[in-house]
Amino acid sequence: MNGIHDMGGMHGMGPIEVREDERPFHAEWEARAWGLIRAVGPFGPTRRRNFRYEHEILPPAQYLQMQYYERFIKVLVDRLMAAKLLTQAELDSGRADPASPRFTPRVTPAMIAEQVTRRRSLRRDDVRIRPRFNVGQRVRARNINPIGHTRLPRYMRGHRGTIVADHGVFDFQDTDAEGYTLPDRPQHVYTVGFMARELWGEAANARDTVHAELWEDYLERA
Amino acid sequence: VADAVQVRVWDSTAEIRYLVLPERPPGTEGMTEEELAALVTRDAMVGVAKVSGPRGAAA
Repeated sequence: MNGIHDMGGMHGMGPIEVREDERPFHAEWEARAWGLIRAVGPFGPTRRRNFRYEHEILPPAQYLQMQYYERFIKVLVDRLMAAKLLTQAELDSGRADPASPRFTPRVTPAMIAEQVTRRRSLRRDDVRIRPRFNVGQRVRARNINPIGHTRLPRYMRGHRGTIVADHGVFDFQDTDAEGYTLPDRPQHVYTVGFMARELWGEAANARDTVHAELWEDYLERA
Repeated sequence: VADAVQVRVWDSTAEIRYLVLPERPPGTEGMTEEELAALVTRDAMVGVAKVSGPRGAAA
C-alpha cells in the first residue's frame, strides 16, 4: 500500500540519530516486545495477516510518533483484539478476565526456543521456474499501486533499470487488500540497478546507482 | 564524498542482506588484524562512512 512506511525519497525527517552504544535493545520492554511477537506469531490466531501489512495500516501520524518496538506492541494488541483473545477491559486493567478465552495448548519455553532458532527463509530451492529476465536485460518497474503489502518501492515504479543478478526462486510476499498472503506464487527475485538520475532527475550524480531486489511480477520488458 | 566516486545504494526490499567490506585507509600498512578491526565502525560495515586511518586522518 502507498503508506507512510514507504519513505524513500521523502524530505524533512530530520537527522538520523546514531548511538555510540548500538545494542539490539535499548530497554528491557523492547526485548519483551520482540519476544511477545515471536511467541504469539506461530501459536496465535490461525489465519494471520502479513506482519508488515499490520504496521502499514497504522494511522500515519501514529506510525511516525511510535518507536520501532512500540509498533510491535501495537500490532500485537490489535491482532489479539481482532482474534478476541484480548478485551479492551483487560488491556485497561492489565489483568486477565477469568471469562476470557484461553489459547490451548499452553505455550512452553521449548516451543519458543524451537520457534526462535528455526531457520525460516522465503527461498524456494524446491521450485524450478525458468526466469523471464536475464542478467544485463533492460526492464521497467511496473506502475502498480496495490492496497495490500508490496515490496516494490514507490520511487522505483515506472522507471527503467537493468537486471544485475538473479537470486533464484522466492515466495512472493505481496498480499491481498486485507493483508493476507496471495496464493502460492513462487518466482525469481532479481537485483535491479537504476541510474540515480532515472529516479531522482538531473540533480543526481551521473555515476550513482540505486539497487533493489525485485520479484519478477514487479517487472516488465523495457 | 568526491564527485568522482560512484555511490551505489542498495534498498533491501527482499530477503537478501549485505555487508560492506570497508576500504583500507592509508597508513595502516603493517597493522595487525586486531588493530585493523578496531578501526572498523558499524557505519563502515553498512557502507555509509569510510574508515579513518590510525590517527583519525580521513581516508
